Amino acid sequence: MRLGRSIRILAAGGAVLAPLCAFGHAIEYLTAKLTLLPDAFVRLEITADHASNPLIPDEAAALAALKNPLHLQSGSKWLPLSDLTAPKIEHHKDWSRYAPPNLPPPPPEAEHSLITATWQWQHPGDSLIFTVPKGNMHDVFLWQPTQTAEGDAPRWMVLLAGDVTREIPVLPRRWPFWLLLVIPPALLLPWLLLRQMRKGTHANSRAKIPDIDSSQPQGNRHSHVPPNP
Amino acid sequence: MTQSILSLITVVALAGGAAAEVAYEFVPNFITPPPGKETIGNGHGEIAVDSSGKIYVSVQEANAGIQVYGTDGKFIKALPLPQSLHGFVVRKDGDGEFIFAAVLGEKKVIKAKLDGTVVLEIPTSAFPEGKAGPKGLALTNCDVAPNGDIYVVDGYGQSHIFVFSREGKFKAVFGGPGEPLKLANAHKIFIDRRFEPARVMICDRGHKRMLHTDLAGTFIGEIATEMRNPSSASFHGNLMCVAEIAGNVSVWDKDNKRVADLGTAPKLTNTPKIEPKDWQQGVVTSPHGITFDNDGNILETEWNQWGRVLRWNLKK
Repeated sequence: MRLGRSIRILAAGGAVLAPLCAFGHAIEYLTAKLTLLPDAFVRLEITADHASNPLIPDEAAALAALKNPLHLQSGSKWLPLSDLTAPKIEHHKDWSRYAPPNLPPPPPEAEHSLITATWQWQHPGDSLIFTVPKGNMHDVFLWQPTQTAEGDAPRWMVLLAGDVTREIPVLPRRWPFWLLLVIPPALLLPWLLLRQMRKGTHANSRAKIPDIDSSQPQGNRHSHVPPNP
Repeated sequence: MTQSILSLITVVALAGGAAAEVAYEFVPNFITPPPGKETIGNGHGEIAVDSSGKIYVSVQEANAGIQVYGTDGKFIKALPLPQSLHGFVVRKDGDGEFIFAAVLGEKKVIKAKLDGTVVLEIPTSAFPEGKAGPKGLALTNCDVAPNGDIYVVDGYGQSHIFVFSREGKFKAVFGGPGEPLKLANAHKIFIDRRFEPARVMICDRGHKRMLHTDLAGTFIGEIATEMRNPSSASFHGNLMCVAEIAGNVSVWDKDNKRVADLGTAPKLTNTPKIEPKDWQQGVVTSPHGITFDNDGNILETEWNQWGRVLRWNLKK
């Protein structure tokens, strides 16, 4: 009875969250902002707070928490994010950049010491599936900025160790620029060739008509025409 | 004949197993909030029941930190206590019955009569130096051992468990992030009197597990792992109910077997701003405090800005 620890979690929540550090309540998870970019690019910004998270006492622990926070499905395997690309690490205090916009601002007395690790890559597949590795004690609050109507609440989900997201479709790939240059001529070429061939065939056909009458001597081509009276 | 005997044995065994099972039914809209309020108020605390059956719920309201309700769920009064009673218990001690509470915002422990009169305070200065983390103490709960010792946990801090005498004098400390217990966000602790001698039951929320130690802090064993972040617990007879903040209430027997799940949220939550319009009858959002009443019914309070209490009655 593991109660949903293995279930897939739909990320269609529209609820608004309270300040995560509201009156003494600590931020007990990493926030993961997932941005889907054109051309199948994906940006994932995962933030750890070593001022408010009771599981992250200091900067070293925050960096450790960001080493392997999520795995990405790749075929039948789970790939650590660190295997994709080296993340960009940033130290800052700007909570609002990495929390959903519908989160009320933290209380003024709240202090944050944030470290954000950013991964960006072009995804080879059509969709993303993430999981929090089993045994990882850092829950992940995964959210996506609103990309539909203005004012829509962002999608979010809380992932515990072992939880798996639903499939998250990436934006479609653009065709490479060089391909756009190559494809039209490539499509036109057979048509032109075909046209030329047809032209040639037609011309040959026409040219051969006299040949049909070639039984007639060339010099007598107009010999059937009765002579002017 | 042999088959008949075997069948009979099987039936008897199954009946015995069924007798060990427990069942509950949800009681909708049990709590009647204070007059003029639609909900009880910002909840990030605990719920407990005294020996007469009155229900105590902590809310984050200045100088009115605990609300008292009758057995019928109707509001009686608010007690003039601090607003950050993150964890508390109601226990008999000596010749009286008292509220023992961890005051998160003020980094202290109080003992109060059931009318709210504070009779003992364990201030920050009574805690040993060198055990708090860089952010200071963040006391999240306390409980009382049979000998009157008061156990306090620094659950949002370093997860150390401090032991004080009945008079509030420091005696010992154990737990914390290091060996052997390696606790992380030990959100609440309770004295588990189902056992003799009593044990310390620790909600090691960071590791999503519950564990037992003896009263000296020696590890006994894990009760359960891979939970939805155990946050609070209560005992009745051989049973223990647990509030799992990521969206579940569970009931366990003394053999550490899960015997019931209540109010399981279809989506993991652990968020405090699920609005009343989105509440579903019988489905939890972020369970934070829990108690049995004297008849074995379960009351649960949530981490929720509007404040929410749910009740399940024991089916008899």
